[in-house]
Amino acid sequence: MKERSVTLRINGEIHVFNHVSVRKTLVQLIRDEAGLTGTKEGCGEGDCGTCTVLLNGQPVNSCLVLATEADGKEVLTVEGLSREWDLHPLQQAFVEEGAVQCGFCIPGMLLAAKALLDENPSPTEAEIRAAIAGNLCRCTGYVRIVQAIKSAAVSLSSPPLTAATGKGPGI
Amino acid sequence: MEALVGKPVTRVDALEKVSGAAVFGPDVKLVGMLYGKALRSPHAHARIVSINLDAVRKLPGVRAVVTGADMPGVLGGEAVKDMPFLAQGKVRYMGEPVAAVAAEDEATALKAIELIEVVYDELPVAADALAALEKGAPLIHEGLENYARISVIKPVPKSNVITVNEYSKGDVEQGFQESDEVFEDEFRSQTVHHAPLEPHSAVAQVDVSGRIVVWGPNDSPHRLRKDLADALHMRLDRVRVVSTYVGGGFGGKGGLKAEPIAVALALKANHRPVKVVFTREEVFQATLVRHAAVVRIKTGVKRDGTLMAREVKIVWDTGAYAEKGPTVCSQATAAAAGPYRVPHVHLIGQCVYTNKAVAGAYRGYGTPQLAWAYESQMDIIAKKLGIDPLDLRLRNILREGDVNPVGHPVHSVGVEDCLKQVAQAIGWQERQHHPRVTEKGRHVGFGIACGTKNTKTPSGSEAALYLCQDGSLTIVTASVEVGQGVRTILAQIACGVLGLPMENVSFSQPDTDSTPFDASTTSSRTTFHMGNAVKFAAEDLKKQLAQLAASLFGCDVNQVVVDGGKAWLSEQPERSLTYPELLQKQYGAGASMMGRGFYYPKSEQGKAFHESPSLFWMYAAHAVQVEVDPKTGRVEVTRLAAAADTGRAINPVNCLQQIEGGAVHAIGTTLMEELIVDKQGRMVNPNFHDYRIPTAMDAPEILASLVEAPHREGPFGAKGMAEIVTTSVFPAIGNAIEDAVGVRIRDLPIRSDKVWRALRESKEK
Amino acid sequence: MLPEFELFEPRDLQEAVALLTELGERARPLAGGTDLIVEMREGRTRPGYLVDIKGLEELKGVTVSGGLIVIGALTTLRALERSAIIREKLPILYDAVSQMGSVQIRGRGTIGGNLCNAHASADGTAALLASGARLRLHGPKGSREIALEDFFSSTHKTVLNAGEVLTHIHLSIGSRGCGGAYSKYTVRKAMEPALVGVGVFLETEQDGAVCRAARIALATTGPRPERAVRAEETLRGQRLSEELFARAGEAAAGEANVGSNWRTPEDYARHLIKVLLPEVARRAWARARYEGRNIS
Repeated sequence: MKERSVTLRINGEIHVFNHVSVRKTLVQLIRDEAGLTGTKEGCGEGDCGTCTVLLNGQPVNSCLVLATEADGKEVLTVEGLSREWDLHPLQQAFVEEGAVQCGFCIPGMLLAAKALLDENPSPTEAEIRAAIAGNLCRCTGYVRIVQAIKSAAVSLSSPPLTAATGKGPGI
Repeated sequence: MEALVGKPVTRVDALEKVSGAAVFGPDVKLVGMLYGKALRSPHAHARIVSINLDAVRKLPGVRAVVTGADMPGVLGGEAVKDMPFLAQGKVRYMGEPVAAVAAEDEATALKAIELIEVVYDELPVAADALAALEKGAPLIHEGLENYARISVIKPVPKSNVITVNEYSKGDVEQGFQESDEVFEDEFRSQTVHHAPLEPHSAVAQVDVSGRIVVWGPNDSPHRLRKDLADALHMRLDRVRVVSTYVGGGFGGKGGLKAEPIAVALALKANHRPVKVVFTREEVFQATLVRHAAVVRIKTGVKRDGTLMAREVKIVWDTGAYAEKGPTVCSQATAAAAGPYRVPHVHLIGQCVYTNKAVAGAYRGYGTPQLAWAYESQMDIIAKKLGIDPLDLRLRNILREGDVNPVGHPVHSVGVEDCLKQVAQAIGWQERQHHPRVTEKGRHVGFGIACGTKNTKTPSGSEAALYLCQDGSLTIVTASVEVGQGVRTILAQIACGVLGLPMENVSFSQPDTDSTPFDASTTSSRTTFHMGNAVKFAAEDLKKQLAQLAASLFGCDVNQVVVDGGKAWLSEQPERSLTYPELLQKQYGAGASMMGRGFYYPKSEQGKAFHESPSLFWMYAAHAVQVEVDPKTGRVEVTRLAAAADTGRAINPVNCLQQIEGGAVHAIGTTLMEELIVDKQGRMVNPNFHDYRIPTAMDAPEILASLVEAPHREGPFGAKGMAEIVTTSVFPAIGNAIEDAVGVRIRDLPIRSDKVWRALRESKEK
Repeated sequence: MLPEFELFEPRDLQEAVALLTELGERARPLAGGTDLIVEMREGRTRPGYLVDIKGLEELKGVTVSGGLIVIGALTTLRALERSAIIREKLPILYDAVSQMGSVQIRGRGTIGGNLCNAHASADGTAALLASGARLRLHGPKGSREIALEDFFSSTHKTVLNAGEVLTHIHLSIGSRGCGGAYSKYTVRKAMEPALVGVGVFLETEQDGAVCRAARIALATTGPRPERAVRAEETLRGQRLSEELFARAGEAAAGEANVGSNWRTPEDYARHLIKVLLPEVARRAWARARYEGRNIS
């Protein structure tokens, strides 16, 4: 086949795409067809991790997954991490710890971090670094990214008294 | 008043970025958008004999096809106008765009470029700068002296040298005569890439009146507008540039990169927008690289370590087109003697064309390659004289008011404190007590270095602030958020002056139509220049608010105090009115107030670009602890102490973020990065698996600290620091390796096989 | 966008084999895609047909049966990394896969893909070569089994016939006194193929003092995955010692099929083999003597 229709769940919502070319990769489907441009494409070859999404819960470089393979599956992108105005503890931690500079690596980094914490709620620093080794960052030197993941691990294991919210601008 | 200045306020753009909502260049999408793709030269140097477009024009879905022949007389370049949008007559590097197509979809565009037939007549290739300097070397730009250029550029006719820049102070020959010891060394730095995670891109559209609009991740919209308008012989207002967020620049996203291809296509696309997104391979091959450099440094010293004379000769490998190469040469060469007092100095830089990727602005603007030389040599000197490397530096280091190597008295000089802080953090004085060999048999070494960088002077920035009737503030500047936190800094300054909370601020997108002139978001100049402009604009608003309050209170304007979001009569502080109340009272039907600020430094010699002594100098120091495996030559940085003089830290966390990122960036440059080009000019490793930048597992422990040597003209004393944070890392590591295993590597990168080989050779001696 | 191709998704092995046979040379099986898609993007290969074999469940998973470890060719590197069987019974493979790529790559890349790409620098290949792996291939004419060392024909080429698919990898569970380890030398600590990798598998006797047999495999930037047979001879039948390992290292360094390339000069590659082999052999020896307990 050269094309087929793809039905998948992205961030909990069903999307139906007809006539998806087999040449398209999942990152293109997410960005161009679903219009979710939070997921980035930095290299197209699985070397940089900016296209990381969770495919059926597993972190993958979506630039190396054919779009048609996602049929019947669930994808989580950065847009799916927050609920309405409430940020996921990882997003909150990245903001608070100063882990964000240019921001281009951040969506992929967040998903890789989420995959780690889903499987290993109390990772050591070495485990954190290994889990994000496939997510390149040129701006931060990874220092505050690692700190943020540690901080999020703590928040996730002890839920806060009030929900972390991103409501409102800036701060 | 300054409540927010100096506070580690959370970045204002972080929320957008963690939500995936931030729009970067490749995210831009317009109705009716076409996809543009370039066909690139497979040869490093060749004449274009013919281009056959018959087949491509017939392919359904192709809407525009363009070659260099469609744009006669169109040459771009900020310092030298030497670069066509698409190759004209000949190609000068492998990967140079020769033709381009715009099509309805990506698949068609990819198919289309394969249908274009180009016939080339290959020419001999000059693949490195020293070869390009030799007599009889192939000439890459014939008639280069005829290119339009700025005044500091001095080309050498009938050669590949686009500029020579020279600085002298005193008499170096005399200085060497008076020295007790003279050291002559050569150091080399390799070609590296900025490697931003976001690839380059641009969307261009030409409207029905012929006006061009460009959207994209360009770090300097006004500069790009001028570059395009000048090249196309258009009025400035006939070009509009809008900058998105930039996903990493480091100097590589300014000027003409993807934009010329998008514009060339848009001019033929019947008013439809054309989007060009570079592949990672194109980013490596055809955007920008850092100059490889050969630095010959000769230094004369007294036995007690006093520097007497320094002569530095640099060959800058600038690639196929000038871009910012000539100004890197002119500006960096002035910094080649380092942050020291040296009475006799001679500095000369040659900027040489080669048939390789274009070299230009790259974090540090040439100073890293220089610090690699002068700071490595300082340790050679220290060892020979039997002086501690830190002491040797402190003996000669510049202090406030000293005259620098190019004859200017310096102000805001924090380098001594930087050295002392990193020495303290790394445990410099105690290092002799540190075990020299680890359990695993690795040799431990310590190294220290410092560095300096200037900034392009003069340059100007203008800002506007809109105060809305509800007291909210919009900051209107063309400074681009490239990840350095500029929006946050400017908000802190504006809100600090006006006494408003950061929550009440929003930002205009940089847009040449509406955000006033800014020279560029480069050269670490934004906090200083645009910070001042915003500060002036906020002060302007305060004055207007004071006048409004005075007329409402019925008093003299000198009796009014404006602060903390309110205005009051100085004798009656309880009778205050907030800014919204002031506006409402006077303009019941609605109004806003606009503050304006323009900053342009006074310059001594000329008013033109790059002609004046640097407005401020940046300083930093690094001290590292390394472990070297004598069996493999592998070098690992285990601890890295860094200190940078930021003048005044408007946001300390922002500054630390730069230091941390810069440290890891520099470790990549020192130990693992190298763009490899073969003798035919082919780039061997244009991808992220073969061009290695550090991963999270490659980053060491970083001990970062700040120094503040306030600058009298900077906003609240602040200056810049984003580019100084890598400069002294390279020699600190080189020096630490020498300390660990007694070998000195003189050409970057310090690959483990080089260390191994040097160890073997030293054992054989 | 990838270059043009047509996609097939066979539901079982028989269908896959039939498709690959019929479509011939222009067809490539698609497993994890972490190599193939990159090759397509870089223009190094332009298959007209991709046969996605990921639906073949029978080719996934790790089991133990009758003294054999059986690894399905479509088992991902990550699954191998997390498999208790592999960690306990074949730690040499754990060593190799846990250092490959990133979490994202390991979650998609398969051990079969690693073998079939026939890169000399492939860590999984070297570890399995040292472990004495045998391969089960299934094609239009039925199944056959070959030793892994007979799988590679020339640079980046295997002996797979038209329509043949690698289905399973068999390894015998080492008897008492066996142990293997793998280590590689890279520039970065992650995301790197080996500049040099060494896998050593020792079969010992007399409580681990004497080497009955040794298998040593090298991952290099050379043309093919290979065993270092002279280094193996150095160890066979000898009392094990640091000094012996050093001699084996020198032998391996001399016989390795490496040349100079932009990644590493030849003399350095040989030197790395020389110094890496004793370290790996030491670990393999420790595992051979303390077998049953996880030695890292």
